[in-house]
Amino acid sequence: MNYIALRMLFGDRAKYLMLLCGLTFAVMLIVQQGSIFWGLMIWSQSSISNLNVPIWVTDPGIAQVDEVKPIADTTVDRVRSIPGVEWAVPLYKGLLRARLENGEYHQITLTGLDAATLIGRPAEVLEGRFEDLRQPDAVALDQWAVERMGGPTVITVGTVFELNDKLARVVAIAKTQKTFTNIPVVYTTYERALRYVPRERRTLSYVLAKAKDSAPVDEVIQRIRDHTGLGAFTADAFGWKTIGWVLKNTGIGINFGTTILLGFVVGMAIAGQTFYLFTVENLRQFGALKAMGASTATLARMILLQAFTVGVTGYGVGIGLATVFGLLTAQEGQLPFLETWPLLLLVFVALLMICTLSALISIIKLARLEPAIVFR
Amino acid sequence: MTAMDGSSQSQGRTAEGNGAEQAIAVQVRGLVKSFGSGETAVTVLKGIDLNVYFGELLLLVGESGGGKTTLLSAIAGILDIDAGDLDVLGSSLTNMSPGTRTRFRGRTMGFIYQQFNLLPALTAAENVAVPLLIQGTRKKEALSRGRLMLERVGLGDRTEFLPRNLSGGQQQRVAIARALVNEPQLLVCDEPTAALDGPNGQKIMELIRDVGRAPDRCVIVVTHDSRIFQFGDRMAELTDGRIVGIHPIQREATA
Repeated sequence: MNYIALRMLFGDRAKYLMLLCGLTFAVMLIVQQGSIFWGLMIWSQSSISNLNVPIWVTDPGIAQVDEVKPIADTTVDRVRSIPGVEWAVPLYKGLLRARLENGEYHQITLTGLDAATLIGRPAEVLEGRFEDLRQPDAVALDQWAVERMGGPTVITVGTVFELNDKLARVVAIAKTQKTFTNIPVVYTTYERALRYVPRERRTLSYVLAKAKDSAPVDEVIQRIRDHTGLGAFTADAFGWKTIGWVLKNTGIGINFGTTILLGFVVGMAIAGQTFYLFTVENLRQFGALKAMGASTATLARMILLQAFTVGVTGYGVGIGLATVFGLLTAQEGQLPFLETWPLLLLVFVALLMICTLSALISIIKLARLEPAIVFR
Repeated sequence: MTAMDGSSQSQGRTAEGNGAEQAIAVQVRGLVKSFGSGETAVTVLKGIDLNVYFGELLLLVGESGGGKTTLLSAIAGILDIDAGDLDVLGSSLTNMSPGTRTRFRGRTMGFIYQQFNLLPALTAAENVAVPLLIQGTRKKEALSRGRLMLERVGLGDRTEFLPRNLSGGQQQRVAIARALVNEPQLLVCDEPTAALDGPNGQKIMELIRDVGRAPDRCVIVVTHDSRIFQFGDRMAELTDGRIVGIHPIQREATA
């Protein structure tokens, strides 16, 4: 009977295509919006992931990575003295304005790294040498800074500009993941960063640390909290904290959640209605099958097979279209778009729900169907 | 036989007819069926008694709304009855569960409808194979038997045609092949010629008579069409939910 069910489904091409379009649209909408949403969330914690360090020591009241709350300069040594800590280095992070030779001003995020180790440096360098940061007045930029500040004709290795009236010379351009605010990132050494910024009582933004291999990270983090009274997080936990802050304070979650929910509801409505119509219009045929000895369970299996066949096809086409959209619009990280397997799994589960509900409506109709309909 | 009140027929498994003992295929006693409820309830069958014998083709005739199709549906086990007894092919339909009745129907009955009710997405051979597939026959064997049956009804060269590419008469032939493919003992036909013109209707009835009738099978045909009365052995006339007469059909002598 599976054969008959599939022939009935594919035989009515117009209805089949309409069903397929409904489900494809629903899947594409959910995957596309979900991927953009997740891409944005990943961007929101790029300032953490770009530095790629295991432990962040912060002000105890920190809400998210871009809301810097300076801590005492002595914190680095205090963290280093805690058992289980392998190393700890200072990090400066703050907003400043850069003045280019052409007179333009650009707001930048200044990131000061430990000069000796350059811990927190980007993994990939596109131009120049990151180690040259130790030279006088040296700074490095990320590729987004080059783009935002005028492009490679204006900013390249060797270009000079001013930070707070002090000279900065570009020695390297690194590749990083775009941040949520997309403010250009300028890297330099910690000490030079302090020279660029106006003097404040507290200048240390974060302490970056690593636990010894023999020490459990969670225990070391707890020790840091106990010994310093500060906040301490793994990079993951700090990232989630930042994502949580963005979701709570920006309305992005509600906006995207609404769109994803709409995709689900619209998809379900289209699929449910079309599938119900498909069944109703084939009611005489199902009645004939019932009269010829097909049980309600057999017809239910046929309906489920039809629903899941069109569902899985719609899933594949929808994912494909969403992926093409991502490839075309989010090339080189220009737009936030991150298709992850949990999202695809979630969409598959949502689709199964859509198909099951649509099929159930039809099955209920069929269960109540008197085969005598064929004689009317 | 005259007006049907059951007295002229045997209450047992056999009856005398035309000098020979005939086995009863369908026995209906006191059948009542209503639609609706309360003040709007309409009683369509008001105590029907009827026997149908193996080897015969019985015509159910009468005015529109007289209850012919309702009686046919009840005998076929596709409509629940309110009261009475239905004994079909030696089994009591009245006491069968819906599931058992469905399986019984699939095993023992063939259906021919006014509107053919072919599945438009399936070829003629696939349509004929449907009852076999429902019974669990393997697809290859079912299709093979479907093609053979189509040859029997004169459509051996149309086995792979879709219904929309067949004429009305050809579609009804496919439906007949489908009704006979699982060798049913009871063939129920609802207005099988209503959607066909006169000559095609005659041909279809000839076919139903030729392939449908057999000593171990009986055929019940609901019809309005007086042009096909000649194909029946007996005619039961229903009016206002009652059988008002059962007549043997006299065929004109041929030269």
